[in-house]
Formats: sequence, structure tokens, C-alpha cells
Amino acid sequence: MSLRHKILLLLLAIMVPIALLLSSGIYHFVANNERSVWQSRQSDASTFAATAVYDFLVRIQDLLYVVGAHEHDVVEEHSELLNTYLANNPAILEIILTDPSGRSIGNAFRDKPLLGDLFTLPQSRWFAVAKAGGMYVGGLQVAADNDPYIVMAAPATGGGTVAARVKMDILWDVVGNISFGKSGHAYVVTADGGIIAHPDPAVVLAHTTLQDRPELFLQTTTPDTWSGNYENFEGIVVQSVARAIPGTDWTIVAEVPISEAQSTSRLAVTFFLFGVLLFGTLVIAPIYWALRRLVIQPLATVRAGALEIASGNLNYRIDLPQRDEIGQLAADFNVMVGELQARNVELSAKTDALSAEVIEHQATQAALRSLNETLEARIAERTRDLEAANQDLIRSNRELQEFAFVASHDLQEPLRKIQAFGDRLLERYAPLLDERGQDYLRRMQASSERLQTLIDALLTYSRITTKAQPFVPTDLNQIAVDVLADLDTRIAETGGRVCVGELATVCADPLQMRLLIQNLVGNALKFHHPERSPHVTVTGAWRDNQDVSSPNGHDVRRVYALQVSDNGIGFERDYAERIFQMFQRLHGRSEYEGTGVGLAICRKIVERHGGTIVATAEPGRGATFMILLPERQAATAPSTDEQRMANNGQTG
Amino acid sequence: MVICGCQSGATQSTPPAPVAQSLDTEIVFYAWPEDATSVVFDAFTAETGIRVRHEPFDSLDEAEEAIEHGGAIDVAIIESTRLPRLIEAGVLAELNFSHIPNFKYVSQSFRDLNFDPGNRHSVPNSWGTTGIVVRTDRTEQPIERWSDLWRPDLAGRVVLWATQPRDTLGLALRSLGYSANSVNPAEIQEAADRLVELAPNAIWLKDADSSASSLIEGDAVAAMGWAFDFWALQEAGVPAGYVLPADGAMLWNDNFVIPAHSTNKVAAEALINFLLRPEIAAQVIEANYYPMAHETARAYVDPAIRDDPVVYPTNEALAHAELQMPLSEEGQIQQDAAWLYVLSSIP
Repeated sequence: MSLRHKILLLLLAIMVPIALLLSSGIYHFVANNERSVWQSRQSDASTFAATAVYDFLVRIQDLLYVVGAHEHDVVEEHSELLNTYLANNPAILEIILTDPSGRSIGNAFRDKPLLGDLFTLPQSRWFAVAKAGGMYVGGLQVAADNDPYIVMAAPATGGGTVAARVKMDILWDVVGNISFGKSGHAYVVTADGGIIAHPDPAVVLAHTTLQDRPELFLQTTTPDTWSGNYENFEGIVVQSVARAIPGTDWTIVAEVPISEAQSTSRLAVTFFLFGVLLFGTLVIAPIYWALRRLVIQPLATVRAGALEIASGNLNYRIDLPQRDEIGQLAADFNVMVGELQARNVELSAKTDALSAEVIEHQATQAALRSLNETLEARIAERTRDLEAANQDLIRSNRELQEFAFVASHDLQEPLRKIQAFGDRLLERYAPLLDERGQDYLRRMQASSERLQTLIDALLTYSRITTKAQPFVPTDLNQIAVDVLADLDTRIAETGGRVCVGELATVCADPLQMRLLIQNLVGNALKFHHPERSPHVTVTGAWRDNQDVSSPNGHDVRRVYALQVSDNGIGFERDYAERIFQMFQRLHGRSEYEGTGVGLAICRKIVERHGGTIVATAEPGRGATFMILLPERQAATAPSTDEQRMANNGQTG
Repeated sequence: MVICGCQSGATQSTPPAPVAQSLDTEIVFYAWPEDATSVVFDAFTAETGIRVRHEPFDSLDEAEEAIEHGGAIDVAIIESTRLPRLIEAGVLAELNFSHIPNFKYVSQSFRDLNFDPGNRHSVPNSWGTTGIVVRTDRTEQPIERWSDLWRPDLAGRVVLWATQPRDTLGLALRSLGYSANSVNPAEIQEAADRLVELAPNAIWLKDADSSASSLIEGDAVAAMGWAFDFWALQEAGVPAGYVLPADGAMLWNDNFVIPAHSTNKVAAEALINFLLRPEIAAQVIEANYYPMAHETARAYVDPAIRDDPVVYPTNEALAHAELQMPLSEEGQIQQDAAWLYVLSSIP
């Protein structure tokens, strides 16, 4: 970039921010004023309209109360009475008075009776609201001949109701007559987003709704008024004021396109910027002329000399008689050229030696590069294989968990029905059944209960991953205290003793730790030796691990070893692995209660924590369960994949 | 005047179809097997290019299940009693009424009912009565009430439905002077006992879609039934009558709905809009022999059907009729349990 341009840029850099700062200040000042002017206009218009609509509705409401106050027999005797009300109220299309059961006491209409006393009346919302003592104002309805109307209803004497169909003309006129500026207008929206009055009737008759624009449901956030900008349902960005219409759940919205609302502010800024531009030109021009004469032209002479020398003419000398800094520069330049002439000769000799070395170096580099490329290709191939295998694993894992959750979840509902109807059968129809029938029924009930237990266990199992909580520091001492409190009754029943040593605080899912310890201690109590009362010990200690290989990325250099030992019946060494499998039981159900899922749950919890669980035992002597939990948990557990599946499971 | 402009703009006898005319697609219409709405489907296809396939259901439970669990359905017909539960379950699409301008023809009496406040999810379709179809030549004593079905001279000659729990329990409740929508355990038990008493003396229909054959070919005298069954008897040329029982006929009404999972919502709305057109609705009424919740269609219906009090009962005839309403969950369990008891006594 030339010096000339730099100087110009510098001048502009000073001028432009000042201009922008000033113009934005002016813009904000004018725009604020303009906005508040528009807002007050919109506010006045919407207040006027809201009041007009309110007055209109109150008049109809008053009329309904007057009609509703008549005794029924009076209305039945004087059939012309309702017609008189109709004649005096041009806004009413039809009026009907009913008794509490919905039977018509009397009615009057202009062209056709639509509110009739058909059998659906008890389910009609206007009837239900009015009968309950409320005032009903319905949404916009369009009749077969395109007449728009709304239904209003109120309670009447003797528990009956009175209802009217009300013409929309007056409401539409009120709204249609509101205008400000060139294209500012207002419309009325109901609580569920339907537009019931708009200057363009086609908008209303097309059932235009703001249902899919919840941000435009202004009144839900503001009970009275609201103002702001947004893109309206016609796609125009507008400045808007919204106001709740009292006595209804309607809102009147007054909108003016933002382009119109801000036209004055924009004009002001345009004028100002133009002025700044003019002023800038007048100031910059003379400064620029002086600089050109004193600096830029002498510099051009120096540059021309330098170019001449660069082209090879080392005998050339710059001729610049000035005595200022630029003149000095030219003189120094001439001295430098002299030196250059001498050095040139020396350099050409050294260059030849260097170029030989460079060629050799290039050859070595090419060889290295090709070796590198082969290596990368092989790594990429291996990575792809690994990723594919990993995907398969994640998918099958997820499908399994999903299956368990969905299966047990969906089994609950029919089972509950079986139990409910079974109970009912036993309660009510037991006398109808003979002894064998009752026995069948009781056995059916017992089987359902058993199935319920199994499903609950399955759900618990699948929730270990689907309902996983994040890992937090968890005090195992506190967990042990809670577990012992829960198992209190069972400990007392078996006459057992549970000793808990000093335990540590580990990084884990507290709910699952509780489940784990509860299952293990519960098992130890359950499988106690028939000839002695159970004695269970729970101990723990930190251990440094030399073998740091871990199956799932957990850091297992330091682990917490939690041990639960008992003096129960134990089991054969061959079974040490089998007991952790789903539905594996070493004993008949008649001997020991249970589902066969408890230890599977334990293993799943431990695995989720990146740990391991092993069991050792001797038949008749007791069993010991050893759990190793890593000190630091991998950052990925529980995976987002599993979380997402948990959500799916719930909706399914 | 603002209003004048709007009226002249919108007074077209046939509003423009809101759908692209070239929709080359097929939609599924889900209704009772005997529903004859399909008579107008060809006209709809000719106009819009959209083909319609009628998939039948055999019970309301089956229909509810399919709508809720994603059967391939675009427009379904479902009884009002089932609406609140389906709406609460969130399985019905919200309707876009700018695609259904013919909603203006729907009777005011059927708009904005408690089943579906503001008609956000449903458009009322047909309605009708549940009464007694009688072979007038086979009985000398007239049959006028539900309680007449227990008369000794009718033993073994009364037809009831084993597939219609609400209607059958309902008639027993009405015969005792109770509401057909009762959730009172004592009343329901009493009605169930009464049905058990009648059970061995009744002919129970378990999979038929009309009682007509029992009344034409068998020796049955009376059947719980609908205008549709009576029409079948008339066509067969046997002397028949349709009685709205003095102890209270039951009333039902059906609605068009679009399941939330429909992938052809716009085409489905176009079909509903088409079916609401007065002259089209009239053809459907003639074919189904049921009235529609329609303000103007009746004028287009064949006078023989239009003035038939079986199809269009007078308000006086309906004075004691009762509209079937959705039951509370507890009430539904009460009625289900009682029905189980009744079923166990059916031979």
C-alpha cells in the first residue's frame, strides 16, 4: 500500500468513527422519540378499541342477564317477548332461553334457529359454562351462508341458561376503522390464537390462526399490555402494541410496519451522513495537497533511483538537492550502493558451493515422505475396522437394553389388568365358583404376583444404564447405614449380625451403590446356614494396582476394594461365574425366595463403574464378594447414548 | 362496510380446494365395515387425484388401539365417547381449518362440545339413535319400551349384541330407569343381573355386522339395533318397525379425526372438506341411512329418506333419549367388570 493511500486511510479512520458515533446518537435520539410517538398512537388506538369491544360485550351481557331474569312461565305465555328484545338489538341474530335440563323455554331468531334444543345441548360448552354460573364468550363461528357470529351465554333464573348468537359486524367495524400512518392497523386474537376480527375479513374467514406462532400469544406473558417488535403472521416486521380486552380472553393487537415506524429516523441519519461527507471532503483536500508536494514527490525520485540501481546499474547515483530528512536519505543511499558493488564479487563464489548441498538434502526428504504416507494409510485402515466393530457393539448393547426395558414396561399394564380383574373376581364372584375354581384363581393370582416381582427385577436391571445418574463423591459409610436401616427387619428375623468397617468416599452413582450393597448384604442374610445365625462383614480399603490395563478406558491404577463376607451356605467353586448371570439360581424357589436377577444387577452396576466383581466361596462355610472400583472414573460414563435411550424407553 | 366485502368474496358454492390438484397419493379412510361413505370416493379422486382406501375396524376398542399406536390411517371415524381419551393421549392431529372451510356447514348444535372444546381435533360427522328393530308381523302386543324385551312371550326371540357392551348395558340401565351413562356400582350391578336373567332367553350376536339375518331368516321378533338394520329389513320386503323406546333411546355421534402420525394431513383435510360439501354429504346420508351433523345437507337428500322419521327423528321423539358420554376411568372399570359377568352367563 502506498504512502499516499495510508495517509488517506488515516484521515478517513479519524473521520468515519466520529461520523458514525454522531449519527448513531442522532438516530437513537430520533428513533426513541419516534417510537414513543408511534407507541402512544398505537396504545391510544388499542385502548379505544378494547373499550369499544368491552362496551359492546357488556351490552350483550346485560341483555342476556335481563332476558335470563324472566320467569319461565312468563316467557312461555308471551312468545312475543323474546322477539321484542331481538328487534331492539340489531347485533343479536338469535336468542334462546333454556331450563336446567336444556329444554327450550322460548327462542327468537332473525333468519334461522341454529342454537336449537337438540340432544347435544348437555354437552355444549356454552350450556355447560352458563349452567355452572359462568359467562360464556365463544370463538368465531361461520354459518353455512358465511355469516360470521359468536355465541354468548349466561346463567338464567331457576338454574336455566340464556344464549345468543351475536353478529360480528360491530366488532369488525370497530377494529376495521382503526388506522394510523399509511398502513398501521389492529386485529383481535383469541386465547387459542384464532384471529376473530381483522380489517381484511378474508383473514378471519380463512380461519387464520397464530397457533404455530406461540411467541405471538402476547397476553399469556402480559396480563394487560405489551409492546415490542416482531415478524407478524404476514411476514412483515412490525412495531406492535397488544392489550388484553377486559372481560374476555381476547387481545387487541395494533401493528405498524417497522419500515414506516422508523422512516423519520432513517431520513435524519441519511441527511446527517451526507453532511459529514461534504465537510470531510473540504478538510481533507488541502492537507492532502501539501503532503504530496513535500513528501510524496521527493520519495518518488528516491524510488526511481533505487529501481535504476536494482536493474543492475550500480554506477547510478541519486540527485536530490533537498536538505531535509528525505535529502539525507538519498545521500546515505548513494554510499550504500558503493559498498554493495564490492560485496557482490565476494558472494558469487560462495553460492556455487551451497547449491550442491541443497540437491542432496532434497533427495533424502523425498524418501522420508513416501515412507510416512504408507504408514498413515495402514493406521487409517485399522481405525476404520475398529470403528465398525465398535458401532456393532454399541448397537447390539442398546437393542438389548431397549428390549429389556420396553418388554418389562409394556408387560406391566396387561399384568395389572389381570391382577385387578382377578381381585374383582375373587371379591365378587368367589361364591359362584366351586372349590377347584377358587383354587385355580388363587394360583393365577400367585403366578401374577410372581410375574410382577420378575418384571420389577427386570426393570431395575435395565434401569441401571437407562436411569443412570452422574458419578459424584459418595460416602459408603452413609450408604451402609441406610442399607442396614432398610434391612433391619430381616436382620432381626434371622437373628443375624452385620459388621461394617470404616469405609471410604468414592466417586460413584449413590443410588446404584446403595442397590449394590443392599443386594449383597441381603443375599448374605438370605442364604444363611440352617444351623447358625448369619454373620456378615463389610470392609473396604484402597489398593495400588500394578496392572493398569483396563477394558473400558477407566483409570485403574488405584482402586477401592470393597468386600462383603458371610458365614452362609456358600457354593461350589464351579458356580463362581454362573451366579452373576440373569435368572441363574443355584437353589429351588421353594428353598429360597428370589428372582435370580439380584447378582446380575450387582455385576451390571460394578461394570458401569468400570470395576470388577468376583465371588469366592466354600460350600457350607460361607462366601466372599470382592468388588474393585477405580478411584477415577472415565469421563464418558454414563454415555449420552444410554441417556437418550432412557428417554426413548419412557415414551415407548 | 367491511362485512359486505367479505361476504361477496366468500360466497362461492364450492370453495377452492386448498390442496395441490396433482397430489398423486393414496390415503386411508378408517371406519366400520358397513360404512358406505366410500360411494363418493371416486368423485373425490376425479377432482383431486387423491385415491382413498376404506380400511374397516370391527370394534371401537380396535379402532382406538390403531389410532393410538400408529396404524397407517389418515382419516378415521370415531365415536364421541372415545374422543377425550384420544385427545388427552395426544394422538390426534390439530386440524387446520383454513383447509376445511366447509366446516361452516356443520350444525351449530354439534360445534364446541365438551368432547373436544373448540373442535381443535375433530369434525362432527353422523349421529343417530340406538333403538329396537321389530318384526311387526310376529307380535300382536306392540313393543314400546326396553323393558318389553323381558316379556315372557318374547322369550328366545330377542336379539342382543355380545360385542356392544356400552349399548347392551345401557339398554338394561334405561329399562330400570337409570342413566345409560351410570357409574353407580349398585345400578350397574342391578342392570347386569337383569341381563343375566335375560341371557338364556336371548339370541346373542357375536360377530355379525347386522341383526337383519336373525330377523329375516330366523324367527326373532325384536333386536337392539340401528336405523341401518331397519333399512336392511325394508329392502328385504318384510314388515318391520323401528322403535325409539319410551324408557329412553340412546344417542351416539361420530367424528372425523386425523391421527397425529398421518403423513398425508393436508390430503386428509381435503377429504374431510369434500365430505362436508352439502350435495356430497347428502349422498353419504342416503347410502348410510344416518343423518349427519350438517346444517344444509338434508335439503339435498332424497325426500323418501329426508322425511323418514327413522332417519331424522323429531325432537319430540327424542325427548327421553340420552346421549352416550365418555365414562370416567373408574366408571369404565365398573362397567367392564359388570360386562364380564354378563358375558360369562351367555350360553
